[in-house]
Amino acid sequence: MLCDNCKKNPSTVHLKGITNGMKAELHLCQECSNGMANIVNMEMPFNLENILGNLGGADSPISLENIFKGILDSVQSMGQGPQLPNAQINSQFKQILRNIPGPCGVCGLSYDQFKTTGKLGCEGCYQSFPKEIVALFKNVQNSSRHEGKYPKRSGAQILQRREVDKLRTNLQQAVDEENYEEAARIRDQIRSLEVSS
Amino acid sequence: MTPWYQDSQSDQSQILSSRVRLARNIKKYRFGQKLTPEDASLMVQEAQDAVSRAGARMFHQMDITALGETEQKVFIEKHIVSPEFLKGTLPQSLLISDDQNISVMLNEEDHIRIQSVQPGDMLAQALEKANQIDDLIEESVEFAFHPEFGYLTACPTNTGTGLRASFMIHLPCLERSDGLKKLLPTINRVGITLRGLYGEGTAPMGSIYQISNQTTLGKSEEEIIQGLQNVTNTVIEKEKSAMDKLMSAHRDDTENTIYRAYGTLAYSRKMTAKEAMDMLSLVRLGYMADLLDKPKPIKQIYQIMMEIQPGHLMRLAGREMNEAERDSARAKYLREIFS
Repeated sequence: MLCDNCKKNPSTVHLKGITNGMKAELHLCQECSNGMANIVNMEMPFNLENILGNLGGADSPISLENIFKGILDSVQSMGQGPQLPNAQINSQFKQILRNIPGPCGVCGLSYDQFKTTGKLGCEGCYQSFPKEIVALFKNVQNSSRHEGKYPKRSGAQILQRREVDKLRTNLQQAVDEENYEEAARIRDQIRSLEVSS
Repeated sequence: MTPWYQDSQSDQSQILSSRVRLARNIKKYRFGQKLTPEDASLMVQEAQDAVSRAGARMFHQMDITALGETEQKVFIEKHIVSPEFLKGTLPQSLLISDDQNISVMLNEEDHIRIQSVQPGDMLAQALEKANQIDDLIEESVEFAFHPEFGYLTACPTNTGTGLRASFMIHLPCLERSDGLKKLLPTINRVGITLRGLYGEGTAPMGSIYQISNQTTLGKSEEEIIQGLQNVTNTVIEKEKSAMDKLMSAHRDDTENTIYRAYGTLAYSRKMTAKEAMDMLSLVRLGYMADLLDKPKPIKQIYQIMMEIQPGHLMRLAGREMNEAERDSARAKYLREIFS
């Protein structure tokens, strides 16, 4: 397998981790991994071996994403990125390091462009930068859920979603009150609604 | 109906007007910054047809970019279009009702921006009218809509309801007493913002402010306007108690200031927009506090405030004017009303 970064040399270092329940992998050649190890050594009190040792454990709080984020934060906190020993670190590698999503598959807007202007390029951008947008919603709007009016043509779907949400709240309440008969009834109601969709 | 600023309800309380804006995008087109000129043209035509079908007799279409600079200024001063709209380089269109209280900007930041204004404290009515237009447009186009996020907009600060509701309010006493600064953090915490008359970053003129919702997700349209109404009511209560305080502690001084302002409006030969706004604000306060024993002018105070802005003055004169010429024209216009 070729290195994910330079796409030239065979990969010898394999990083694996679980990020939000998804498997994330990064395969690097010796040279590129040295580049990364250099950043890590420069900025962090532990080395690559320790990071690798920490990965993969079922109850390990350190995810690959967090490591990359940590690297990004420390790189950014320097004001400018560190001079890397070789020029092999291309934009894709930086992107992996900084955990930045690729451009929108529909309109081609890059995440950086979005961050600069604050404006999205198309409906598809909402799917292209889902995590970032939800985080932004939670930050500036305190919620990511629409509770207002809806176009009549998507009406049925929305109404059902809101009904299921309401039933879930009722279900939790019934469980809290140890009213299991009621809880079972609500659970069946939710199931039948979900099956019909 | 008359334009809202000619309605006496705009002059009866601290709330001058109630305004609602809905942002919508058509599903099959990209948002503004990624829209090609060809698509922009198609989009504008499609939206225009939809609005016409919705209220053919209600709106007339305007090519605002074809207007002269003075006419364009008038539209900005009336808050019918945004300065951003006029900066647009792609095809766009403005649809406007006869009384100018409902307008639709096509291809501003979003494909469709419906705006509805009512005089005084009538936010629910303003929302109802905007909703009617929204429903009618939706009959012939499919909006970009996400079951979780709601109406999708170019800027994620509008996603969800796409609703920006606002009151235009007059706060002369709170502004003077510093009470406004103290209120700001509390207002912001509940997702409400207070800005100057001409929007973000502009200095408040004539103690007129816009108070509006910041958040568009997590709440229904009705909850958003109720929340804004509650906060605004609190602000107005504070303004009234600041006014009572001013009257009881400094009645003579306040009376003197207000009558002097009236005299300045009635007899000046030159006046800047800022001074005129300040004087008009004091006179409005004089009527509000029952301090000014003079007949009310034939026009509403806010209408006068609007008509002394550069664009309106130049349109009245029928020619371009420099600042000094405008100051003279402004003073003349005000003398005719007040003396």
